[in-house]
Amino acid sequence: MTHESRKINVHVRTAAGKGAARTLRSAGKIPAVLYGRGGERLTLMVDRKELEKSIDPTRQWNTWFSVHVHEEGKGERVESCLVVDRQVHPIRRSLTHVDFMRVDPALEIEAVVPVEYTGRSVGVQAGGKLKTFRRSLKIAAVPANIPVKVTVDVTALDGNQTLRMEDLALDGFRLRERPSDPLAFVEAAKVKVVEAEEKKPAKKGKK
Amino acid sequence: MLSPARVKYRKVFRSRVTGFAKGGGEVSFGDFGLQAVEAGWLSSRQIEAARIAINRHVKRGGKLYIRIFPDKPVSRKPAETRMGKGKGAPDYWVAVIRPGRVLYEIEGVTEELARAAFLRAHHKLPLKTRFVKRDAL
Repeated sequence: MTHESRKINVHVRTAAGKGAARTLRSAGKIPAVLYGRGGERLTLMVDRKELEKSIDPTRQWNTWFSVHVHEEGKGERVESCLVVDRQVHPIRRSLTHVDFMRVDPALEIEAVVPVEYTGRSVGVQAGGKLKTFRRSLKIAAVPANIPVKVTVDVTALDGNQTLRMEDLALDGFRLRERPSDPLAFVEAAKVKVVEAEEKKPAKKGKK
Repeated sequence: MLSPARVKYRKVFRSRVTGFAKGGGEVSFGDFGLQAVEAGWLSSRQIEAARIAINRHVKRGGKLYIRIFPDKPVSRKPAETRMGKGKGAPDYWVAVIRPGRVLYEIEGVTEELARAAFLRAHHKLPLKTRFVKRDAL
């Protein structure tokens, strides 16, 4: 389940402001910043294609990066980072800015991972309807243990039963959610109750 | 049809529609969305016509979200009226749409059905639109 960090090269930039950012973008690079864990705040530029290629296609924005920072006169150093914020163009959907945050590989961090519901529940087989409440979950894990997704098996769920956060089997991470919050619920099939119709007295005509 | 319950001012300036959508550019509620790729106005009638087209195609399956609201009044002078004598009376309501804005979202239907339904909605709208999907994260 553990995964390794992915390498990316970034360069320290000195020019700031929208004019400089636009010049960078037209040259195929995007402005970025790096901060966190008490270290200095760096303004960076990164090659857009290199960044898009280095993103883990399964983990997407939970990819753990080892950022190789190149600075003139100071050489190269490596920082362990996650992308905590990003800006995209509203139409082209291309990246226009990213925020890297330093993370300690040995310490837990918070991440949001998608949920996948698997199996056909007993209640659904009996004609019920499965209702799911969450598309993503907040978890805490060391960067190497951030899962691709949280798989929720709903097979054992019968009619009118609820699967809650506390029922999940976790491997290598903790949930940062309220344990009593529901994940899935099976609405039981409606059973028509046929009652013996009582014989109503025939309506009397007007006197 | 959609219209505000009450407004502070009955008549407003037309103004220019410039730039990109400031918000509402992501699929936030459903699984699939219809996104505007050019700027313009959508009247409450057009919004309603597209909604009906989507609902008829999905045969009332799934859940539809309308992400826009016509809150801008458009005034019009009566026919055969001489110019002047003040601004016309409010006639209809429009939503101001900038490129990137997600207009409709749907969930609980297959992608093929959503695509076909949004194509029918697209034919009812005066703007270029495209089909978008929810990002995984």
